[in-house]
This record gives sequence, C-alpha cells and structure tokens, in this order.
Amino acid sequence: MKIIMTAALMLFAANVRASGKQLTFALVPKLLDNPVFNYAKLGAEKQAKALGNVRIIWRAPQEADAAKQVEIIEGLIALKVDGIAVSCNEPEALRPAIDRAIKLGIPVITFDSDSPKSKRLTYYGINDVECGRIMGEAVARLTGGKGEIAVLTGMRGAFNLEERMRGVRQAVAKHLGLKIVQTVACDDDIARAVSSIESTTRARPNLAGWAFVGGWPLFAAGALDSVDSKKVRIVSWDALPPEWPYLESGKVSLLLAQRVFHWGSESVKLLTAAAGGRKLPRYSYAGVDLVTPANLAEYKRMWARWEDPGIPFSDDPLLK
Amino acid sequence: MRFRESGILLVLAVQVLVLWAVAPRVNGESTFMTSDNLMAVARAFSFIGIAAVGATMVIVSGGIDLSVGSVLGLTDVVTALALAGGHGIAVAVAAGLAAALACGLASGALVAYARLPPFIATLGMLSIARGGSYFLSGGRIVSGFPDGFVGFGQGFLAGAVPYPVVVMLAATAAGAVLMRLTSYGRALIALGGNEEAVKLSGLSVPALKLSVYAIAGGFAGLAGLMYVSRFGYGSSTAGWGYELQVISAVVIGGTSLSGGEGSVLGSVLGAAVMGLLANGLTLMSVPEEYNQFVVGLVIILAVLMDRYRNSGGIRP
Repeated sequence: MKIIMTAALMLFAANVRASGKQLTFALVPKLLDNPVFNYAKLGAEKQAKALGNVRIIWRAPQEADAAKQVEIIEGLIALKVDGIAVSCNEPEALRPAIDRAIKLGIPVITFDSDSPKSKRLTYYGINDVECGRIMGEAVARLTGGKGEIAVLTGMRGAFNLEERMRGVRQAVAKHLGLKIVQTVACDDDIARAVSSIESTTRARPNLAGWAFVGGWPLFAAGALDSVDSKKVRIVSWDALPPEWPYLESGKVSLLLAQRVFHWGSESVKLLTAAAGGRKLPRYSYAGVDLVTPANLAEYKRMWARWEDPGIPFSDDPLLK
Repeated sequence: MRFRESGILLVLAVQVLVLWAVAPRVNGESTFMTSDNLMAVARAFSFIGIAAVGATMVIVSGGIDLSVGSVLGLTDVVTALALAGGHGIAVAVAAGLAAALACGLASGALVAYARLPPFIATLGMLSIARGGSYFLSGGRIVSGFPDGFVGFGQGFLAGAVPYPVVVMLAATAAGAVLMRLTSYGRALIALGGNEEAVKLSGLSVPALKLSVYAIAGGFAGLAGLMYVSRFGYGSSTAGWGYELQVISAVVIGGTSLSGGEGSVLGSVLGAAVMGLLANGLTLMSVPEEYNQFVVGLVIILAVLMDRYRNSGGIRP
C-alpha cells in the first residue's frame, strides 16, 4: 500500500456485530448542499446494509447553520433514535443539544467536525491541526524550504479550517526561508476561489507555493490556468474525483484525502458499538491519505471499491 | 435626455484610478492595469452581471427576484447532467435554459395571477430551485463534459476577450435596448411607477408581470450556462447566495428598489464595481478580516455618491 497513513486508528474495524435489535441512527452532516457529505451518506448506507438491523436517518439543514442543526437534533431526541452522529457547524452552539441527548441516554458522536467540550462519546475524523502540519511540511518539501507561500481558506472563523491553518503556520514557521505572504478566504464559493487565485498570482509573481485548506477551486475545471506549475507548487485538501485531473496534469503536487466514505460507515459502526454498551475512546482519529500523481491510480481503485455498494467495508484493505 | 449612469461611472472611474495608483507593481508594471487582469475580473463578475440584467427589469417593474442564485444553480446542474448523460451540447443548453425559464414563469404566475408578494413568491422559488438542483444531482459533483463545451466558457474571442464577457456585453445591450427603446420597456417602468395608471391605459398588468419574471429567469439561466461552461462542473452549491450580490449590483447601479426607475447598464457597471473591489482587495493583500467591512462601506458609499449625483438637478 503506497498510500501513506498517519494515524490508522480503526478500533472497531471487523469485530462489531450488531445484536438482533433493530437500531435507528441519525446522521447529521453540516448541510445538504455539499457533495462531500454525499459520500458519507453512501458509506453509512452501505454499512447499515452490511449490519442488517440498522436504519439510517439522514437529516441536515439546507445551509451550514448551527442553529438549524440544533433544531434537528432536538427533533431527533424527540424521535428517540438509538444514536446520533453529527458534523458540527459550530462546536459550542451544538454543545447543549449534544449534552441533552447524552443525558437522556442517546449516544452521540461527532464526525468530520467536532464539539470537543461537549459530552459526545467520541469524534471520528482527522486531527485538523496535525493534518495542517502535514500540509505545511509538504509545501516546505516541495518548494525546497524557500519562498513565498499563499494560503486559501473558505469561511473565516470556521473551526476546522482555522485549525488546519494553525497547523500549516506551525509547520511553515519551522522553515526560515518560507513565508506566508497572503491568506485569502473564498467564503466557500468556488467561483470566488478561482478569481482569488488569479488575482493573487498576478500580485505575487514570486509565489513558490499554495496551501488550499479546502479543495474549492479544484472542483472547477481550468481553475489554475493562470498558475505556472513549474514555479508554483500546490498542495490541497481532499481528493474527490473532480480534483483528480489536477494531479494528472501536474498542476497540483499533493492532495490530502479525508476518509469521506468512512465518516458515514465508521459513524454507524461506532454508534452500533455504543448502543451495545461499549465504551468508546474520546477520539477515534481517522488517517489521511496522501495522494500524489504517482499513487493516484491506486487511490482511484480504492475509491471504486468504496463507492461500490457490493463491496463491504470489512473487506477494505485500508482498514486492516 | 438624462444620463443616469453618470453616478456609477464616476464611482467606477474613481475606483480604477485608485487601484491603478495603489496596486502593487511588478517590474515597474501595475498588476492591476493589465488587460489580462481586467479581463479576468470581467470574467469573474460576468455571471453576476448577466443575471443582473434580468433582475434590473424585475426591480424596475416594482418587483424583486430572490431566486436568481438558485436558478443559476439549477441551470448549472441540469446542463451538467444532460452533458454527462451524453445528450450533446445543444440539448444540454436547451434543457438548462428551459429549467430556468420554467422557474421564472412559475414565479411570474405566482406574482401575476395568484397575487403573491414578489418577495414571497421568489423566496419560495429560491428554495424550490435549490432543492431541485440538490434532488437532481443527488448532492454529487457532476463533471466530465465535452471539450467544446468548456472550451467556450474558458475561451477568448480574438484571443483577448473571454466569451462569458462577450455574452455579458450582448446581454447588457439587449436588455438596455428592450428597456429604453421599446414600448414593453416603457410599460415596465410605468408598472413600477404607478400600477393603477398602467391598468387604466389598457395594458395587461398580469401579462407584464409574468413576462418580466420569465425574462429574469432566462437571464439567470444564461448566467448559469456561462457558469457551467466556465467552471466545468455541476453542483447544487453553484450560485449560492448570488441573489444578494445581484441585487447589490442593481442597487449600486442606481436602480431604485421601489421601482419605476433604473438602468440595465448601471447594474452591470455595479457588478463591475464589486468585481474590481474584490480584485483590488486581493491584489493589495488586504487581510480577509477587513474585506467584508470594506465591501460594505463601498456599497454604501457608491449608492450615496449616486444619490448625490442624481439629486443635483439632472433629473428630467
């Protein structure tokens, strides 16, 4: 397996067997309108089917709004579901609702985006600061530790993005020749991400590298036409299918792939374990897959297995 | 004859001069005042500009269209799905535009015949169109189009002017002619000024309303086609929140939100003001923390300047 894993913590990989009882789990992503979560949904449904006695409720606000998520969780508590997995729009805003569910005996876990101070049982997802550091180190390696770096982020103030940027800054600070000269925020708007890159490329002819702490521009085609890939090294978050051509063309050197399918499948597993009375660790960190032009073919094969409803996750080589 | 774009032109001129003066220079050359940069900026705001043409007509007629961003997104998804399904460019474009027109007609019918307030009808359509694009795409990103299709959105006329900008200019011209030189345009202005008078003159108020929302849907659809051709992907997130940018452009351009007066050209220039502002803030590395603050200030200043100009006695 050439794909490098930083932290492969799959605690309940193969040994979760649901009891005969019918279980209903609710998964609450940040919003409906984000393609990333669609893969999590696929993963959750596949896992539920494999377990046999699990039913999935998929609920989310149309837009990334913490208050609406709180409403949804309150509704799920009233429904008396057997477990809730939530990707938090805002860690503190979700905390009272999560704590209330726990108090009423409904297991709650977080995935993708945590609420660390709440009483949630565990968090499944990456360690954002740590992965930000990996990203910063990768930029340093690719640029030879010298030059001007720009960072692209989404919505300023989004907890996980700020954590990733913190990690990037920590790693870059260790290299005296590297300097972050500009941070641009695209407000999660793909079109704005593309035009910000164009503007920054013009204003910064000496730019040596970019760190995208989310994959926004790479969902569009021709987003990096203004960038000279011989001079500028780009590292980006996520490795969803629309981003692959950028690796193939050499415009992007490295993608940090989150386990988007496993947000769903592992959440279902963890909730099943919790419903069966198992104690969960406070953190269940997922690995990050470092996808490069060299191992992209292999990553695509993995992706096809994850996407295939006929191949259960228990046969997944990454999880063994 | 009054020249109602003079206010917004003044704003734009000041903005260009300031950016020319203060944007960083590389090897002695301004990073702002190059045709490359200006064309990239124009392409970036072309989607807002095209949608603003139709939105202006609605606002002039005394209505409002909150659904333009969602209709843009729906066109993006429908066109992308048709292309990815191998239906060919002509069918895909027709399907995308048809979806947009259908949304516009539905909003128009609700306003004209069911007599819903435009704010409510188009707020409903904002949700319905967004929900429709989510339902159709299943939340997935749809990509993998024929080269000819993205070739248009990413290509340049005569190697210099991006095609989406060409389309924006054509849309602006068409909209301006319709508003200024046809009896239909005059009827829309009259409708926004005094609905009773239009009724008494024997024109069909419902037909006017229905048609203007359909036209706005059509322009939002055209913007969506440019979007999907430029960015080469279909997603239910496309055009999220664009309605506010479009309405801002229209208002900055000097169109009154209470209806009865306004200018298509002014709206597109308003979109240009916002596009140049975003470009300038990035070129000058203004920290993101201040960006939104500055954008808000400029919107207010631009409208104040326009009011000031237009209250100076140049009204007929």
